[in-house]
Amino acid sequence: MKYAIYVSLGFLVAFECAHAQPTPVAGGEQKESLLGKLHLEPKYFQPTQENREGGLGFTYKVDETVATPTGKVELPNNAYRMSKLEFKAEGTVAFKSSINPADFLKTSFEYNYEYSKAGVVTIGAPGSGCDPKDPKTAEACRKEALRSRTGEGFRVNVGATASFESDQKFDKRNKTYGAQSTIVYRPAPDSFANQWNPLDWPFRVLRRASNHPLGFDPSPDAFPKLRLALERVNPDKDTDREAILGKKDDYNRVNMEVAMSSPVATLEGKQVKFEWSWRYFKELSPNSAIHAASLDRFRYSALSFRLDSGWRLTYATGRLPLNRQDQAAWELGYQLKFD
Amino acid sequence: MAELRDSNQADVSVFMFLTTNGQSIRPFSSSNGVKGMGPQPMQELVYFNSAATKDMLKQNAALMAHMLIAFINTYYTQQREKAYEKKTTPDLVAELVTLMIVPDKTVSDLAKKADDIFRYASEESAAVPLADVANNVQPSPSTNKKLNKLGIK
Repeated sequence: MKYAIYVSLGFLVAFECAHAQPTPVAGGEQKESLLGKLHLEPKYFQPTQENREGGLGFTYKVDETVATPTGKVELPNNAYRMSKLEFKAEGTVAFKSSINPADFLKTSFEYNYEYSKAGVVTIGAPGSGCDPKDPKTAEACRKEALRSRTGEGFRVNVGATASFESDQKFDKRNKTYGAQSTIVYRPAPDSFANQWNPLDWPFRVLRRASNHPLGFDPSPDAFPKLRLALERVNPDKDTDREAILGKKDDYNRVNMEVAMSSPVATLEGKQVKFEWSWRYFKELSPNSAIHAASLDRFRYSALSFRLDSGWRLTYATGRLPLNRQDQAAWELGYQLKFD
Repeated sequence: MAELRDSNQADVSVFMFLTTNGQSIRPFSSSNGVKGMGPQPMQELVYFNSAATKDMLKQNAALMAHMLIAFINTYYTQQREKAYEKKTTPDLVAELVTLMIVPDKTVSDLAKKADDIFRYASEESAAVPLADVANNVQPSPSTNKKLNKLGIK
């Protein structure tokens, strides 16, 4: 298996589609077309090995709630539950497909039930020096919030999903059906879960060393978020699998994503933050020939460091389903805004 | 780039929420070459994980949006502007999320949206009695059952 190292040097440009201007309607509500909710991010990839040329590309994402059939129910203690039908699409496209490090497009419909509960950090206690309505007391409020045992948030999203997957040339295509669950938990600042989250310990040390306002205190954002999916995959067109098996066969697959983010340090008074996502796809009970060809499991990891109003350094490695070669990509750039 | 104003409680509420929840270390407004929180884009707030899938980012943003609403309800106001008087919390979360997952939307944009939704104490815009909001809250089936047992329909 060959590994290609990519360096993307240049500008990463993020903008909303030109159609994103909302159309005013009566009652102060605003509607946007589906196209208006499409987010595009142009990219440039430059391989550094094998004398390969770089090229332009982009990522796209759209996520829209189509219907909420069973209504929305407000519950006590800042909680609610609801169910909804959603349309989602996302992927990465390179104008030269061979240099695409994440050659995996996915379009899906999901019917999901969700429950959300929001806590509030305790601030403004007598003697704390914090007045929530006076921004001049923000530092006292921030310090008081760090000692708060309230302020945790919890959200779970469970549902059925049907999707269409392909590489960008549509040479390989899958239909999938299954179930997914996403769990997001944000512990209260002074809770056990926040204080003893091992993923944040390296960043706590770095924050302390760089005089970040959080110091050695933990960041609730560093608590890992989890998405799990069990899918039945129907390979519509996958020449690699067909060549090995001599036929198209359905199979079951488990997908998982773990993600977290955390402030890392301060650099000249500006915050540097860390972002990480790890994705894993595993075929259940694969044929031995599929296993031998390493087509039964795919891992993809992306991490980035981002300086407030400055650079962003991203490293992505591994491969996604339908991408047959492990690849690694470095991206360094600035985010520009076009209005 | 729009700065936050301390005369606007919507600006103050969003700034306080982001500060006390560890999302940004920027000061309230720009001074001495240090940038204020108003022009800061969403992608620089800590919850915004651009390495994650859109699904994951959206769920995380939705939780933060729900926490922002609870924070404003607790420390600032529970009253809504007229255009939002019939909206449920999930409706408001959905509106905030569409803004909070856009990388280059700013904290000022978020504060403006909060100002559009909530009627803060200093404002004289459309008054919405809290009872109106409560009237539109759908009790859960289990609550309905208990109310029925008490003879309340």
